[in-house]
Parts: sequence; C-alpha cells; structure tokens
Amino acid sequence: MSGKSTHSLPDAELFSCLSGEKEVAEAAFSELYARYSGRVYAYCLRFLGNRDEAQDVYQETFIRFYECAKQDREMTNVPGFLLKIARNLCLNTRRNQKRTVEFEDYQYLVPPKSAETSEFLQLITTALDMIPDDYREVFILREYEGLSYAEIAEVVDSSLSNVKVRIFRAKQKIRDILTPYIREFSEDS
Amino acid sequence: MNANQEFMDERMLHAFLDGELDGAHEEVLFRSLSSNPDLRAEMQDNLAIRRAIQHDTEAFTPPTAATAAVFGALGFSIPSAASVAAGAAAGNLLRRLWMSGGSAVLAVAAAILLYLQFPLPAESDAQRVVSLPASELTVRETPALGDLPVSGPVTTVAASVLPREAPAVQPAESDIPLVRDASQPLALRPVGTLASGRDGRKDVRYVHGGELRMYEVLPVPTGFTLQVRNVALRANPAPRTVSQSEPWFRNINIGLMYALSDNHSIGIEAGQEAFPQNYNGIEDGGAVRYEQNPLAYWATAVYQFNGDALLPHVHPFAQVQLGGAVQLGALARATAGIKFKPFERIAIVIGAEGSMLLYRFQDKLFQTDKLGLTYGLAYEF
Repeated sequence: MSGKSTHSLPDAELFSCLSGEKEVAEAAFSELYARYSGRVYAYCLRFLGNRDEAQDVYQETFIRFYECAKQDREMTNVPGFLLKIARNLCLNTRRNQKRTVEFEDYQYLVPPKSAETSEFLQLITTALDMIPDDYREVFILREYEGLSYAEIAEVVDSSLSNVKVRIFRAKQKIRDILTPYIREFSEDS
Repeated sequence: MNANQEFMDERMLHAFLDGELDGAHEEVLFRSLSSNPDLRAEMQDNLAIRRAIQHDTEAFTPPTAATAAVFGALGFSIPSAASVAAGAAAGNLLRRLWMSGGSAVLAVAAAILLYLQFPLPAESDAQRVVSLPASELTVRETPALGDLPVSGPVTTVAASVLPREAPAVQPAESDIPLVRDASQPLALRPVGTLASGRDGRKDVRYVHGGELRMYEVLPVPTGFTLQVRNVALRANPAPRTVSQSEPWFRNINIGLMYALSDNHSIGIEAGQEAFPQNYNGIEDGGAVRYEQNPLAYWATAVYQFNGDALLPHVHPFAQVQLGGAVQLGALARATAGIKFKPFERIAIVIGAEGSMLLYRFQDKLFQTDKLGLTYGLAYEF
C-alpha cells in the first residue's frame, strides 16, 4: 500500500491490509470505514428503529469486522460482509431486546425524531417499524443499501425467489401503510 | 383485468424499479402501464418513497461519538469528523460536536447567567439600571421615571416628586412578581419604590410596561448556588466495552449548594456517568469474569469548604461527596480546586476530582476508581 493513496485501492486490497502492520491497517480501516460507515449505520438505525441500540450494534459491527479481517486475508464483498455482521447483531439485539429493556435506557424506547428528518421520512420509518423483521431487513437492503436481489439473498442467507417475494411484500405493506399520506408528501418532495 | 394479471403486473413493476426485470417482461409491463392508471399510481408511490429515502441523511450519518468509540476500541486515532461524515449537514456536525464535548452547553449556561447578572439597558422599552449616592435623592427637572436617579440604603421616592403625568395605577397581577422576595425589607409602591441590598449597594432596575411604572428590586443572594460541571475522568479499571448509550448530558453534573457560612456549604449533586466494572465470581460451578461499562445516574450529598481569596477573585475550595449510583452501589467523590469569580455571582470552577464506586457481587466487594479534571460554572442566586 506504500506510496498509494488508500482512496484508489479496491476493497479487497484494503481488506488484506487490515491484517498488516498497525499503521497500514489503520489507514486501510479508515478508508473502508469512510466508504461503508454510512450504509452500515443506515441499516442498523432503520432496522432497529432505536438510535442507542443502532449505535451499539454499529460500533460492534466494525469492531468484529476488524477482528475477522485480522484472521482472513481475502474478501471479495466487503460491504456484504459488513452488512452480514450488522444483520446478525441486529437480530441478536432484537432477540435480547426484552431483557435489555429491563436494565437499559427504557426511557429511550421511542426513537427521537430529529428536526431535519422530514415528516414523510418519519412516516416511512414508522411504517418500517410496523412490518415484520424479515420484510424490513430486505426492504432496507434494497432501498437504503441499493443491493441487488442476489446480493440481498447472500446477506440474509436465503434463496433468490424467497428474497423476491419478501421484497415485493415489504414494499406492498409499506405502500399500504403510507397510502393515506403519500400523495400529499410526494408533491412536497 | 383479473386479479392474477394485476398481481403479475405489480411484481413486474417492482422488479423493474429495482432493475431486476428482463427485457421481454419490460414490454409487457410498459403495455400494462399505458393502460392501467392504478399501476402508474403505484409506480409513482414507490418512486416517491424511494426519493424520500434518498434524502434520509440522518440514517446515513453515523454519530461522531460512535466513530470515536469504534476507533478508540481498536486503538486507532480518531479520524476527523469531516473525513468520516463528509456530506453531513453543517447543523448535524455542530450538533454532534456539542454532544461530544458538552462545551456548548456550558457556553449557553454562561450566556444565560451573564444575562441574568447584567440585564442590558434598553432605551426603547425604558428598562434601565440607575443608582446614586446614598445621601441624596435628586430629581431632574423634567423627570422621566426611567431617568430617576436613585439612592439610599432604603429609599422611597415621595409621591410629590413624581411626574404628574405618571398616573398612580395599581400594578397588574402579572407585574407583582417583579419583586422576587416579599420577605425582604422592600417597600413596593405603585410608582417609584426603591430599596437597597444588604451591603448598601444599589441594584435597582426600573421597568415599565404600558401605563404601569414600577421599580424592580434585585434581591440579594440568598446563599444558594447552582453549579454545573463537566468531568473528564480516567477510570481504573479502564473501560474495555462501549457504553450502551451516549446522551448529550453524559458526565455533566448539576448541583445545588446552600451556604451555611462564608466558608461552608452543603448541597446535593447529581449526574450521569459510565462506570467501567470488572468483577468475577462463580456461576454454574465455573469461574466467570464480567466486564461492563454501564451508564448510570448518580446522586450525592455534598459538603464544600470555600477558602478565602488567594488572589483577587480566586478562591480555593474542596468538597467531599457521598451517595450512590443507581443500581450499582455506593459512590464517594472528592474534589479540590479553585473558583475564579470575575463577577459577583458567577464563578468558574476548575479542579481535580477523584471518585470511588463500591459495588457487590456474590458477597464480594469490587471498586471502580476515577481520577481527572472537572470544570464548570457556579451561579449564586
């Protein structure tokens, strides 16, 4: 990597650098973080619908990613790998949610809405909270992450046909929930 | 059109919007779109949702605190916010900087306190502070109440010296709170009632609203002090896990003190803080070790000793605190430092602080120690 800017390096090369010397690993990690932190955070935030939980999972995702990278030298799909880690952690969080609520931050269960989030976006995130997890995750991977159906199938470890059906139903449900508002807000956007 | 055809059209539409429809089906879809307004409406709805999601900047902007936590946990230097959160709105960035540092909170608190300390004179609405020598009460030739010079330890302006055009009207109920403490030896008249503080210093604010003209008398300090501090502490054991949440008020302490005398004060202080914990025990017949970094509210009773000025406006202080952290255990703190008092009621507090949290697990006591700096503001009222 010496002499070359990390910006120009492909993911796979940066990933292999993560197992190298600390200085090199740090530069490579910073570059990968800059490339994919937004997408990972978007997945965590919109899947969990809770900012504090999303931050915890998001942090854990990158820490685990780095730990894995120190052992594996080859990776062809870094964003897919990151999203897979994030997904597993999100699902774990969901499973443990009830227990967590008893001890931690129960006052933050309702996700606070920031001022810059438009009203229509708030409706979309509310609609996302209302659909089942397996629909929500494929919707986020498709609409937020821009993954193809095949890539989504890889991340969620499911068949292509199953993913197609889930995406279709997720979109239908979201649209059904938003139908009363969608005309009004789509004109503003 | 039958339901099955409708279903197929919808599936083709979604596949098309996602770039997953092959050419042969595209033609079929286009024909359906040209003849089916409901399908066109569905397409527009989906595109509207997609457009909205593309503007979901909040989702795509990881908090700076989370970035710092990731890089800190990996032992890397924290990248600049600009490089990580490129494209984030300026407001976002400012908000996150505020949250991470808490400095803006203190700045706002300082601004408010300064405002309270020095009410700005505003000629346009006839609000001003006036004072004059203790032995005199003089009235200018064409007195406007706003211009009245005022003096004397406890001075009442005689009705005869008041301008005739100023009608003596009863104060409206809403105006009564202008005199803040009725128990103080203050006289209130519909027009022009003046008084002084304990030390003979005049702090008289003249206010009028509409036809009603009154003097507000600023009460002397009662001995209460509101204190807002931030603490930057290093912990033993050092945190190895990231705390569960990152509220903006983390590590900010708020305290209320009451002065028993010039040197001694007591009060309460509370805040929220992460307490790294390492402890071990026996579970299921095996040794287990726990490491956690829970964020907890804490509250303590405070005793504070305030020394005489070492230098002009600089007073040493020391305080000890005893209390507890919610769901964790007993908490003791000790602080020593200085208070810099550039103004009569405001002090800037800087000091060194140590704390010890004691907690129990399986009948064994463990502790978390912290040592670091504290800084903040105190306001006497």
